Amino acid sequence: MATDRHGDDPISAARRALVDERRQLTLDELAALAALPDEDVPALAEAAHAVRVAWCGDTVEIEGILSAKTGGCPEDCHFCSQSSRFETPVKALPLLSDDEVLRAARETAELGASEFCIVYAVRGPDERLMAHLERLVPLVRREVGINVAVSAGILTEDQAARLRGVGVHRYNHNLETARSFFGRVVTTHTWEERFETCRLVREHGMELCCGVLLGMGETDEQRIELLGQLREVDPAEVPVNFLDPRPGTPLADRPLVAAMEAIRWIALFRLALPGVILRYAGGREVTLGDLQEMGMTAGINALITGNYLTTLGRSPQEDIVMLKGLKMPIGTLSKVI
Amino acid sequence: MGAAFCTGCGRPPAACGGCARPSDPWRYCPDCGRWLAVQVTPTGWVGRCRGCGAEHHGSHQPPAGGAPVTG
Repeated sequence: MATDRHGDDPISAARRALVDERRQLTLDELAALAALPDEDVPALAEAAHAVRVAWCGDTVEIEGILSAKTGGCPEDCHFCSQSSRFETPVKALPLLSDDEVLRAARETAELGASEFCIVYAVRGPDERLMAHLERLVPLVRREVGINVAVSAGILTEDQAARLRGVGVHRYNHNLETARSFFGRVVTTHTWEERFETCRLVREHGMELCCGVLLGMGETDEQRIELLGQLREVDPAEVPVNFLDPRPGTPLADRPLVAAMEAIRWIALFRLALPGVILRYAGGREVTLGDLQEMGMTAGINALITGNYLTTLGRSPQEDIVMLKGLKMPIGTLSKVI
Repeated sequence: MGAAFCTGCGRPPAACGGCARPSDPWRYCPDCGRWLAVQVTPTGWVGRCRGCGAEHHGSHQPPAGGAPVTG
């Protein structure tokens, strides 16, 4: 590896900048780290873990997620089995009842989770869904005593204010991918519309959860571009999803991200966003397999446990055993400012 | 006794070599091959058959090499 003026290789230089100097890396520095050979990935992961501990501590936040309105979505996100535009085995179901959501929230709390995210497959909430949320969110908070996050698509200013008003702790709205690649995977709304909802979420005092999906055909340069754009929206939390190609979708035949490539990018996300809650999300089981523990020591400090929206995760008990083995306590997190 | 229909695509075993994935709940009824209305929750899933009315349950992905946890 080349060295800098301090005689440091690029990984040691990145660690020094972030841990000793508390200086953010530039996108050029991140691009140089992205280009390191595969044999440097374990050292990159180790540096990212040191940055995570220095900025966020060793606590891990656990969340459960529930699809409260599955399928039938009018949008055409090419990775998603819930779009009504593709012939997939995931069909539209009616909105879950309050009791069904409460039952899932209680199950989630019993797993040790501090966050429960209720997800709706919609472009954005209509008035019926807003009324449902205004009733449901306070009910879940009161009955279960868990932080409630919501994911219901594109918001107006008024809707963002109303959701904040009923106690939504975090609002999930993913950028998914870089602005320059977005039009290749979504055509029914724009990257700018997503960016604007992210801005509204923060402006109205909710924590922003803004995730990504890696493995859709984007280049390394576009992943670096995405890191810069994430810095602009300044999320509290970034869930990292890896594409699990869904039958019937336009991305059904994409290959999985290779496990060590996934570890490299987990580390790069931590090095780019040192104070963020970086969460393991969909696709980690199929992408990483036995390397899931390595991801926990490459920058991850939160995870979705149990099942996802329409697919199955591994047993929560396996996650608990993993965290105990790593001596990582479970607790709540918020972004380091 | 093996399923009469593939839970991944709903076809009879003779027409499908086994496309069901461990990361997916059953999508088709193993008894009649019709589509299941599937609700996934953090701790499990339930699928109700639109054809024969059977209800099927499961929990999570099996551990590596393990058998699917379904019923």
